[in-house]
Amino acid sequence: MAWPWNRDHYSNPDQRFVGRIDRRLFTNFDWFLLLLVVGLCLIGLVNLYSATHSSEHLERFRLQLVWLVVGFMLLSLSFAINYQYFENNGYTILVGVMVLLAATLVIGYVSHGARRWLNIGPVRFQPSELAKIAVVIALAKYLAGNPSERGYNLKELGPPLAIVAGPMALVAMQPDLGTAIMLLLIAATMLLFAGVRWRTVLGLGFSGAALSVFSFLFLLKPFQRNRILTLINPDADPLGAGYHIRQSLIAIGSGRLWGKGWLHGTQAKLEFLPEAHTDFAFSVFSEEWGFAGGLLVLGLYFALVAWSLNIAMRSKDLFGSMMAVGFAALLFWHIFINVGMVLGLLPVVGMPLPFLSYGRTSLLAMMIAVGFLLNISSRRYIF
Amino acid sequence: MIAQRIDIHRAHGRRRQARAAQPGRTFHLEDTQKVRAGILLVFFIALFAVLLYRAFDLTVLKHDTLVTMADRMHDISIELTRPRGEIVDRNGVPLAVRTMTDSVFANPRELEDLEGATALLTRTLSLEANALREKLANKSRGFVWIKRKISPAESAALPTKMPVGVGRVNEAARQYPYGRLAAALIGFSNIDTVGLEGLELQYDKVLAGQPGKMIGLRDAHRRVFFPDGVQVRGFEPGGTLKLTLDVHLQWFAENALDATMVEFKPKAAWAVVMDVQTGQILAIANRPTYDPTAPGDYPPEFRQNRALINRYEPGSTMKPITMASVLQEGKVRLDEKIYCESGSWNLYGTVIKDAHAHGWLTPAEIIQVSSNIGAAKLGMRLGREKVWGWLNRFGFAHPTGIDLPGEASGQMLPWSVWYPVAVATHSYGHGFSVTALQMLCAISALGNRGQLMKPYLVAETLDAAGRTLTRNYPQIRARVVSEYTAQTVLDMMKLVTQEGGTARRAALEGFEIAGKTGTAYKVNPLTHKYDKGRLVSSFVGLAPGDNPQLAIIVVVDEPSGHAFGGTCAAPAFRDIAENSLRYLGIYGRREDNERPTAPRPLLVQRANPAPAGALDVRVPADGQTPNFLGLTMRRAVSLAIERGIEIHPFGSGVAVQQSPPPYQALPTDKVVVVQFGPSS
Repeated sequence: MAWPWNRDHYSNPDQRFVGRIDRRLFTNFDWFLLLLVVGLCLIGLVNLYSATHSSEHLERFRLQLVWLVVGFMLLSLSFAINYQYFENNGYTILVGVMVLLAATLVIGYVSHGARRWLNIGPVRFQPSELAKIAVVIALAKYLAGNPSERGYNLKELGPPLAIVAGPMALVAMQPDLGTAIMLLLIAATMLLFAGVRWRTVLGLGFSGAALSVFSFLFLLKPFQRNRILTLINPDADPLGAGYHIRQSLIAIGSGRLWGKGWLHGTQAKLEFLPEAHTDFAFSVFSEEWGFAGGLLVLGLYFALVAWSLNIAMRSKDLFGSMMAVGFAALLFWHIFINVGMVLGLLPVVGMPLPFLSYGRTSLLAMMIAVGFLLNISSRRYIF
Repeated sequence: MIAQRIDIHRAHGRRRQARAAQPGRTFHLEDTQKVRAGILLVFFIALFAVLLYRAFDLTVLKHDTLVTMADRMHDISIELTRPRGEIVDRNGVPLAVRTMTDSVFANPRELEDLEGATALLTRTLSLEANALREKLANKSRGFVWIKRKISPAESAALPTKMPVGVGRVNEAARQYPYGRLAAALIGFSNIDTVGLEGLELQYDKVLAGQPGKMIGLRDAHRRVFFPDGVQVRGFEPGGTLKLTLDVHLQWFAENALDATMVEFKPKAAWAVVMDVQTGQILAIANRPTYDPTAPGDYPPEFRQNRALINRYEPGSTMKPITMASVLQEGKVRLDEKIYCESGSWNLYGTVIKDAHAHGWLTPAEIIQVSSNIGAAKLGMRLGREKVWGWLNRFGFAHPTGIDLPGEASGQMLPWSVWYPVAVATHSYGHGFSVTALQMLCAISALGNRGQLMKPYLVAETLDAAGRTLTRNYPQIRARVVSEYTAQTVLDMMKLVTQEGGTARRAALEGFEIAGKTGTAYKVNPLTHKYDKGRLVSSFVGLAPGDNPQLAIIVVVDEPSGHAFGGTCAAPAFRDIAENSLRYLGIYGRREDNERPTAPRPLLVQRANPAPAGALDVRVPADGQTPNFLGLTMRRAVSLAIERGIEIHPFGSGVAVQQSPPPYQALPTDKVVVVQFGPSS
């Protein structure tokens, strides 16, 4: 039986059972990336404790510790298996995830008015998080296999967009607009990196803008429309739709330059800040550590994203590059949308902040993504 | 191996065949892709910069607004009682003080052990268990007082570590060390120590201070927390009120009224003691009274400061005022006699009666025996407009301006609507109403050389550090009559307490007392007619009569047994005057007193001026005889007493001769013989 993690297809054409992973994997190991992620996870833990220690959610701090251990196990796993193995199985994985998404729509667990959760035995998770990974892999596979000399034109964009469209549609039906947009943003970033003709970019840009206006007017549900309107004028309805943003801004603003100090924030402790330990983790952190803390976290995030792009630049093959760009986009858009939301720049969408927000599936998906990045980075000299 | 590896790359990257041959590094991104990666990086950097700028904007540039919003949202302050300052008497004796006591509160939403807390608080604070449990179980409230201002014993009974959800805080309470003494005057404050009546109300701004505030946090569910323990901020003690009142005199007055209440069982009685020359109030006593620590337990009329609020018909106490007016207007001679109609006089169909029938009376005798008819006849010499004018000039129908709340002004109809008989009735104090304070001020003017003083009760206000904020000084409202008139009426009033007067019971051994009784029927509120069964009896007097220092009025409302002013009010007056004079160290001028007080020189010189040029103003040296020539007998006697020599007068009139003559050596027995005769 040839388990993928026991062998290295390409470096061991003899199909020799290594039992041990290639030594070069360690000499070239990307310690910097791991360090960044561990640092962010620790900050996340410290912050989560502050956000939950005075509420009934303290249990979640202990759970997060468990999920971090599981997350690092998954990270190790996605690191250990040569990423090139997934180039062969990219579409299979995508189809598998789509099956899960379809199943979620039928037998999923309903929470907060959306059917996003799937119970498999004792484990409950969100297939939409896995969809992000799957889309990156499948799209990287397609783009690496079908490079375009002059950039993709509209016709050539068809297949890659089709790859994204399936999961996007299934996620949007849950409904989970945030994740659907996330999939689109990741795909768009990867496509732009692979190269799209200017004409096509502009054309799609315009039609996209037109479509956005159309969707805003006719397709969006009232609560979604409200969130966008609230962004423009948060004071219009301070107790309703504007409440989240207002409380978040108050939390961040009252942190000032150096913050109120750990465990001394009031917005989360007094439960003015909703979802303090999940979507609004950055607000909690900013209140207690001030602008200095926010700068540190954003700096770490930027280092993470920039380093991911660096990995893409140094990858030994196009598939690795594409994947690295995809994961860089995955991380970046999560960070930007979440922080933009808590800073009142973007509408309120349920988007977790990587490594800082409490959230099981999201954390695990991020760990898998980082595992892949480590994988690509550390195998750049292994053929 | 190498070939195989290249093959693999060929399979995946058709375009990279050319570069694949390079050893070691088999794959490179195309330059365009590197550029795109760079563009992507720049794009990411730009968006990160936007986030960073926004974070900077919120945390550094906009933090003030946001912090204010936050504070408004979650800061809560619970106002505690105000640390009211002291009220002290003229000698600094405290009448109202601040003490610090514990108050117990609860936070029902935080409460963990409802039954335990209920049991503890029921036991230690002696509260009713069911009501308390209901209070504590009401989770809709974040903060609730359980019991405020608990006693020290209750404080001690409480555990140092209170159960979760229950706490205590130290706050100010009000104590009245003398209990009911001057209660109606001082007033009281409510549970939050806000002044509600009396001085506590009038001087609330000075006394109140800044209340402490318990600073807490409120969460999104409106629960209240005290994360750093109970902290009180903003506590600033109030200022001190220094009164002109004297606790001793107050006590004498209240004691005297207590005796009156027992003996005559009136509905109420009140008394005021005032310093004649300054208008300083020395005592205001009211009966019945109340306990200022539990004002709610008494009917509102028990809390009234009747001396200021109750209006009554003054009756005969008004006669000295009428006399002063008529004298000042020059409408009566002191030696003339007025026919008093043998005790009953039908005037315009109204019968005016005297208590005893009299024939011809001098003005002094009218005052002494209190003849209504005599007073009426004197008043009618002025006419209604002038009677009305003089009453106004003496301050009736106007508030005296004392610094206490709720002062009544009395009622008097304008003269234009008076019935013809009203001139007569007003002259002996009927048909209009006054307050005790008005009457006291008017009579005091007679003892103060005709100067009407503004009564006041607060000597100074001081801040918490003891610095004077404001100080009150004696204020002359008006000079209503001349010194001569004032002195003359005062002399008449002295007769009242002497043999043949209406108030022998007000006489005091060793002193001359100038005073006047007053008794009036009350108007029955149902019939609107005078009710012969209900009296208001009063006595107003100045002591000592020859050098007035204390003005005292006692009013007895509806005494039982038809007791007139001379019967029920005069003894109370005497009690107050006797105790007060003794306490103040004021001596009378009779020979049996060891320490004669100096007469007021101003009065001696001006009382009855001799013809111009005749008066010798030289001051005799020690051991010389004074110059009695030109003086009346009265002033000659005064001068002799002042100089400590004995005078043997002969005849009547002014001094025309003396032996030894003025400015000669005094004989060893210090006796000067003075011959009085008609002045040249």
